[in-house]
Amino acid sequence: MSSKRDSLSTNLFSPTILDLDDSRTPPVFVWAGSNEESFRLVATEEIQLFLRMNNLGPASRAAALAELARRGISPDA
Amino acid sequence: MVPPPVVAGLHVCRDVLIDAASHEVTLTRSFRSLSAPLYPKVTTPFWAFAELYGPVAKGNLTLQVLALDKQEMVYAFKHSVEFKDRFEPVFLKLNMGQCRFPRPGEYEMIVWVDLDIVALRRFEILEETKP
Repeated sequence: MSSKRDSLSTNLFSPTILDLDDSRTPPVFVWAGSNEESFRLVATEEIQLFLRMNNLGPASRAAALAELARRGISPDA
Repeated sequence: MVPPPVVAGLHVCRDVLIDAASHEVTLTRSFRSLSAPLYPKVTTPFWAFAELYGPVAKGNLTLQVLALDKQEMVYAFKHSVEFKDRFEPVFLKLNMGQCRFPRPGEYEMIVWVDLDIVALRRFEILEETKP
């Protein structure tokens, strides 16, 4: 009885599986030797998102803002 | 996303196996410290695994790694996520082989869904010394 119930509940359990590999889907940010070099390779909208996440330390944050300034883009645009 | 998703577990480990029939999860060699080559080399590949529950909704999932000494971001991976049922989890299984660690020390893995932090995991990187 209990094994039948266990089997039933297992069959109903259908998680969504995100099976991901960063060699197939490239990361949006990878350390490139310095904060400045790292942000140079990141899309503008991703940099704006990282600034909104608001958990970067001063050096990362300054580099993100400097990269947006270099592109002539406001952090809030 | 309201309410924000919750994570039943966030793990870093050497391998993850999800049984196709039962969906049972096997984590192999879940670690607290990892010996890995430092920048400019890429890390020894490892896995991040999380079990997330959320409201029926779609969003963006970001997995971020920060060096804790300076709160410097060293890695971020982004992917869309859809919670189809309040009581069915999303299993996030990410093979991380492109991460580059600038120095040995403490790091923090952070999982975001949209602009909510849903999980944190601290781990240590030791410089791999090969003869």
